[in-house]
Amino acid sequence: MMRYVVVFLLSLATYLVFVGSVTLYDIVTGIAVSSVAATVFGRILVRNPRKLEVRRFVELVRYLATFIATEIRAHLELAKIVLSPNVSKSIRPGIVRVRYDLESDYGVTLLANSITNTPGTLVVDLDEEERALYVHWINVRTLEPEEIRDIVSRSFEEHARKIFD
Amino acid sequence: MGSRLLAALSMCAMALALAYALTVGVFSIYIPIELRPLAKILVTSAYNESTPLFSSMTPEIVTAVVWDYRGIDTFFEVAVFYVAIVATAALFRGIERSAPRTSVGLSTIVRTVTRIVALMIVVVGSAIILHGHLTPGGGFQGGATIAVAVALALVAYGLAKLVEHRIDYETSLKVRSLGLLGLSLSACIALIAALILNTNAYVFQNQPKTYAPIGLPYAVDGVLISGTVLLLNIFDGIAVAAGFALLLILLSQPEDVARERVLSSEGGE
Repeated sequence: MMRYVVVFLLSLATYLVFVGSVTLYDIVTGIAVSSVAATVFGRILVRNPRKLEVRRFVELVRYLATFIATEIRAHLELAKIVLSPNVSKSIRPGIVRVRYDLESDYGVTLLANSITNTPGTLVVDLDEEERALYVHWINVRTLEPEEIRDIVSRSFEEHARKIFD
Repeated sequence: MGSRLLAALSMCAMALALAYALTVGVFSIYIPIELRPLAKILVTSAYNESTPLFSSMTPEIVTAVVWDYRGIDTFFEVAVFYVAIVATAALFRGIERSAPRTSVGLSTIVRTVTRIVALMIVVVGSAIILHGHLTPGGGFQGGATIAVAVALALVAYGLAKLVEHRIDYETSLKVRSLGLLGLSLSACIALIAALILNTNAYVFQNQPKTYAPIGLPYAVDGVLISGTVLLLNIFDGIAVAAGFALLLILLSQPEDVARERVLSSEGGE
């Protein structure tokens, strides 16, 4: 039951944000569309409804705070590189392998998208058997696997585990 | 160092100029105050509560023209699209159910994002359909938007997975026929009512006219629904979404499975 409620709320929010007004007509049609969408997508979007806990939503909010802070720091770092007098000297581009330890699809997706959305790092491939992401890094500072993981993905991975695993 | 500063300054100046052109510049484009005669007719008749006999009661003028002023014209446009789909289905005759048994699809990242985005695309498409009489959009636009979700799912998951979830040839054909049936019935709804009540009505009639007093209410409890325009938009959206889905499913069938199917049926006869 919970899975349908969550999908219903997500689709109603999408509907109202897209329409951009909250009249009686919007609410009635929004509820009708969201009910149908929830019955169709409920099982597709939420595989394990027991995971829908308040604790995980709180973790999601905390993740967003960390993400925004990391994002600002990465932007500043990259801006420094772009504005430096000799760009080619201040970068060391390369592709590194970053191992991860996450179970759920959503967790892996959150981790990969967080890495891609931070300027300077970009996920180019995913190896599910080896549990590794291949990440293009504009400034490869180290080749030690654990150090790479510390810099590139550690905090995102811990948040993803708390939210989705 | 001097040239670098100059370059930075000129970049800033260009950004400012672009920002100015995009905001102030665009809004100060010359707009004629006088309406042309055709525009005057449309603006005064598309939604006008003081002259209900001459109004289509649809604030969105393009939708009013498409489904009310020239409904039959639109019906034949829709028919052309359906004939194209029927022709494609005829070309695929005998191999229309040639989905592979398994499909791998793309990576976990793409599949997970597709699941979320597909829901949002379907919801946004429905919003476009249901607000067709109020804002730009309507049945065709919303239906095409919903079909994008099918296209994404086809690429991210592969045809076999979709068939497993009953998004296949049969379902899209049935839904499309249902949409077409609804479209035809909504076009004739005033006519059917008039036949029962023994008065006059037109095909594609929306609001009551002088010698055809039957029409659908344009508002329910003060909420504007624009009579048949809402119904036509909904059924057109369903039919278009299913029609595009049918095309996409047919076109993404692999040749080797289809060939196997044809050869085995020839050997069996």
